[in-house]
Amino acid sequence: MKPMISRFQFYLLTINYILGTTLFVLIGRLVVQAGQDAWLMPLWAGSFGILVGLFWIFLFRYYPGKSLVQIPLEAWGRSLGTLVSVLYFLYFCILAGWVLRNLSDFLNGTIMPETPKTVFHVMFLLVAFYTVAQGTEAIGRLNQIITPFLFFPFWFVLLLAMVNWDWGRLQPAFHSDLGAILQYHSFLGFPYMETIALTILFPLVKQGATRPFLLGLMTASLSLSMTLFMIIGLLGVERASQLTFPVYTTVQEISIGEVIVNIHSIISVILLILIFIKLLVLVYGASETLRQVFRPKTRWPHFLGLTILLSATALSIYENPIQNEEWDEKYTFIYDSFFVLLIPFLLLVTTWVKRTFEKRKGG
Amino acid sequence: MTNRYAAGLFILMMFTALLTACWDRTEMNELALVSMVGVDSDPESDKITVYYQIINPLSGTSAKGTSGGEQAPVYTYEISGSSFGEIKSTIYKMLPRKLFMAHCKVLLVSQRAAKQDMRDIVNFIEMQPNGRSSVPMLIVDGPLSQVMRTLTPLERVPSDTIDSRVDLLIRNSLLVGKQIKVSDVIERMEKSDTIVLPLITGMTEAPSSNSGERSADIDANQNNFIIRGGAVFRDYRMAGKLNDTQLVWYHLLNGDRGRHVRQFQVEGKQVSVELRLVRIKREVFWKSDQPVVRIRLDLELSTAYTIEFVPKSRNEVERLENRLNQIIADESLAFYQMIRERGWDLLSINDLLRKQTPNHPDIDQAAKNAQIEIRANTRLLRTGSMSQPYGGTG
Amino acid sequence: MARKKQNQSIKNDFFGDIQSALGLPPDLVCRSLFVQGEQTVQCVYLESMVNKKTIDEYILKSFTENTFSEGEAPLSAESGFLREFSFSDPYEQLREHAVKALLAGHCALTDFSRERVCLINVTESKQRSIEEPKSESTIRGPHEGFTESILTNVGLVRKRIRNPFLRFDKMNIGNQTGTTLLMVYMENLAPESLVREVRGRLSAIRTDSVLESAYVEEFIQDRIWSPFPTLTNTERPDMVAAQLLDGKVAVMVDGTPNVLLAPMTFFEFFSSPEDYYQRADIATFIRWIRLISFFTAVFVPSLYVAATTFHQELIPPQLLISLSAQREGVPFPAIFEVLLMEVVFEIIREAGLRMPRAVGQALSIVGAIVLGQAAVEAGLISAAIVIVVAITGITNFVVPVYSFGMSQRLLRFSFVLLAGFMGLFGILCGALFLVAHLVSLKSFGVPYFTPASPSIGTDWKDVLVRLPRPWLDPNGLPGYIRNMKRKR
Repeated sequence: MKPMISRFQFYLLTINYILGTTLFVLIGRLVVQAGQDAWLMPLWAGSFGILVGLFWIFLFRYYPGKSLVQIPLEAWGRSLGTLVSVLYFLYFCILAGWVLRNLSDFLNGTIMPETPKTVFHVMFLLVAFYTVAQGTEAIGRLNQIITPFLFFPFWFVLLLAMVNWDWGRLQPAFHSDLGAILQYHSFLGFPYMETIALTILFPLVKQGATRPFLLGLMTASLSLSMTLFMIIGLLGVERASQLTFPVYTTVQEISIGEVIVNIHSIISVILLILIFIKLLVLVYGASETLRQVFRPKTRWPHFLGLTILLSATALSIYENPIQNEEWDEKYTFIYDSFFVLLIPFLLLVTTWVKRTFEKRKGG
Repeated sequence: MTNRYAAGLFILMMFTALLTACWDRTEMNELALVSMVGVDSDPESDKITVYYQIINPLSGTSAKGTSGGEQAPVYTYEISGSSFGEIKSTIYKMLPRKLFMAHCKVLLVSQRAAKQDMRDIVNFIEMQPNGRSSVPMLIVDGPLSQVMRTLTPLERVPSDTIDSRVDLLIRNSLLVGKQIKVSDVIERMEKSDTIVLPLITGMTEAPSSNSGERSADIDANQNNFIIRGGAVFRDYRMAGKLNDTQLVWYHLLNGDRGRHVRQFQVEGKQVSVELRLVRIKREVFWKSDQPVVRIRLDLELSTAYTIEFVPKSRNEVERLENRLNQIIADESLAFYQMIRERGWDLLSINDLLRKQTPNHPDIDQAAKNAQIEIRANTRLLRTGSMSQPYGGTG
Repeated sequence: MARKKQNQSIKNDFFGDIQSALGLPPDLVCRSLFVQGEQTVQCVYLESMVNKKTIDEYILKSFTENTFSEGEAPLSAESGFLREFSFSDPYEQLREHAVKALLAGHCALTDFSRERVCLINVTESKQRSIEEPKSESTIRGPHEGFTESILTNVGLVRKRIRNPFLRFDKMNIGNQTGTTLLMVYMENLAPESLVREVRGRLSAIRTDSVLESAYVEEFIQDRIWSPFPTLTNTERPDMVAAQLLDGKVAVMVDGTPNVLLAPMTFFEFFSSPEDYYQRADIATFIRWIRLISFFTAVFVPSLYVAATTFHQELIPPQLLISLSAQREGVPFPAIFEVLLMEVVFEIIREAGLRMPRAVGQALSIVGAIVLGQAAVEAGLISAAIVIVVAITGITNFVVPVYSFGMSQRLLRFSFVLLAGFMGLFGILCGALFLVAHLVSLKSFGVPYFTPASPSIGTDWKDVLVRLPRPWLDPNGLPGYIRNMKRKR
């Protein structure tokens, strides 16, 4: 029997995957882009994400029970299919490296400035691979268990911060340059197009992944929008756009009486867990790609190799955050499009051509 | 099977790599707990001086039961350099422990430093990895070193005394407003508003720095400092001062809600009433291309501290209310005229107009020309425990 | 004829053979009955294992007093506790059977005239009386506990469940010890797949000895590399009865009062039979106390280490000042202090278990004053550490199942190490690892973390809260048991 994850688990996984690194990498940049109207951005980017999701689902309809890496194998044959799968594998690895690097940047920048980055990478990778080795069910369940511990404290802490709320910071509403908002295309790439890693899990979802996936996209976009809304109302555009980790700073500034001071550790733990879940899905995607394409007998050498590979990738993926930002602004969308739009589109075309050819043959 | 052992061994080896960690480990007694930071800069030599007031943990209750009564509760370290970044490193020429900023409660800035430029100072505070920018910022009127070296009575740690005084003033008066944190300063300055920060003044010329001597003295006014007046800031520069009377109107018009007791002259009689802002409403009209800002203040009155005269009939209450409405409107309007003459946008009219009409071509000019109408509406809601003050038969 | 002669010599030698097979034991008794000068019956038994009164009154008396007509058997095979072998059977087998039976407390009766050996059960094992279990005492509820005798234990369970569907499957495990095991379940409630699984695992055990149920537990648990028990053990018959009625399977081992119960889930370790003997609101409150104690016992020392050595900003300023004053002059890093005191505490606890009761007083004085107060005053450790260790030590005992408390201790130490190296990040990694482990763990096919994940809505009535009885399902099997039954 195949290990299965339930619809609800997949829904939660989708949300946490999207929120993953977004919550603390992107908030500041979004505020820079759209000022006090930044909370609108996740809404339109989310609708784009849903369109892309529908596109994948359309492709998956032709190959029921097959995962993203098995489709090219079937559509384009063993050799070309393997090549494409390896490309996907590398894509997942690079994304995972990115996630890890964001993690270590965050930790170095906030609570642990002196610890070497590799330590963070290796620790998280070990835990992630242990979970992956426990199977798909473990991922779904782990996420399900953890989500309430993310959701409630996160909003509770933000609500505590409401003492600093000022409606004035959100005004004037709808007055920024909407064109500029729409042009900020890297937001489409990260995080929405990166959700392709979740499609590895598509065939394993009981009763179909379509609805939980789309609902998850919607919920995540709404949560992002809410968070942005609150961050702007709490910090103001001026500070939110200049700070590296606005969510963190918001919480850092809460002080209610003598007792509730410096509760930002709660928020860092939440952010770290979200990153972990994103990492978990990516690592699962990478190792599962290897498994489905090459069908190894023992898996631990892969895990070991991937740990070393990924911790090295994370260390060398960019030298400083400035490079990262520039890459993100200029190339993320194009880079992601290759894997997320182009390859699936080509697969779809091949499928259509094959189908019509077969029909003609049959007819 | 051998492979499994090898894998296990490898993972164990990786763990041993982790065991060498503890890079960020700092024991508590290796920390210098900063309670207050003072920043001064000399405009002539361009030297920056930072004062760190560091808590002496042993002065309080000690684990070993020996009272640290003879030790000073705080030590002030003074270090100068040409930039703030430099100071971060050179402080250790004097300080034997690692600076720990997370529990810093107050930021003091000397008046001469504030008059030059505060940009560096707020950046310095905001940049620190474990510092918070939600600490109140006060301006020192007079020499900073004097305040930094004053040991205060009652609260052993001077930053505690400032912190709780500010809190009490916010709640029980209109002399200090809520928005005096470093983060507020940044936000308002970035919006090119004008803000007011409280001023603090040392009370003696040469304060005694001996805590034993200090705690034996009964006169709390000796060797102390006082929060008095406000410093007006525009574009990260101190532009002037407000006295306590003006501060009341400033805070009232900016929506601070402290319960302030003030004496008014009503129909030839002196009346002390307690005011508390309930609601403030600011609207903008355009009258022949000129903005008119109408401010409406709803105030709650209390005669709990009125010792001179208590209204007895409904008629008297109404008269008192109307009279107060008039006085408040007039005086705050006069206050507005005063600040407009000096060119301070203390009511953030600029910001208000920008929010109302984001597309206006010249907001600054419009704000300058803006007409202001202030209307106060007071209501007597609480009376004291006396229906009539004692006054003899006369 | 030759055969008959051979049999005769065997008969004469039977006692000697058994004696040598058992190695001349001091408690081996052989009694011969002579009727009319001819040896008719020889009775062999181990004195220490049998009830002599039974032998005298019911067996031997019947030979001496009754006059049998020729051909009438003094004992009939139908009486059930009697097995009969003929000397014409292969001798080796006969002897082996006889030896085994003697060791199990039978007596062997050789009937010379009819050339056969009867093995009669006259067991009376030495056992203590039924007492209250020391490790699982309760305020309200039955005070009976299991004993070392398996038959008594069966009786204690039967007394509570008078139901024809109650099944006891017997097996003997242990090449050397030959211990009796009983697998107990309710045929109408326990899912068949579960019963099959337990039976399969039990019969797969290959071992020499089973002296305690823990021997069995280690063979049939789901995963060796896990600090968490996937079976529980109890000395309380009411607990066993309650679990059997929940469709679970119990394994009784002869010679130990500890009965194994399977499957167990994580949250079931926080409930105790006492919960159901109290008002629902109180039971719920206590259950929460247990959960909080679990987290306290596992995380408090590590959080203390993380907060005081990595994230001092978490500690409120006043507390930080006084903590750092306490640490002034303490030579060791905080992690070392915590580890030291935790180890000392574990040593004191272990010593407390072994030590004669009279010394207990002395030990507690040494523990409390010398190791607590004096160590603080000497400046070896800071006072806060003593509080931390005391809290964790006490909360550790709150969990109703002792074996679960043991796993808390292991976890606590690993978390302290992680916290010492990486602060909160280390604790977080450890916690994620722990959750990943818990959700992947299974107990006899049941996910360990149910009903949290996979979530079973109806089971929440009896996890974090204990709803009043009338609101619970009247024939309330746990959701996972129902699922197992449905899948069949």
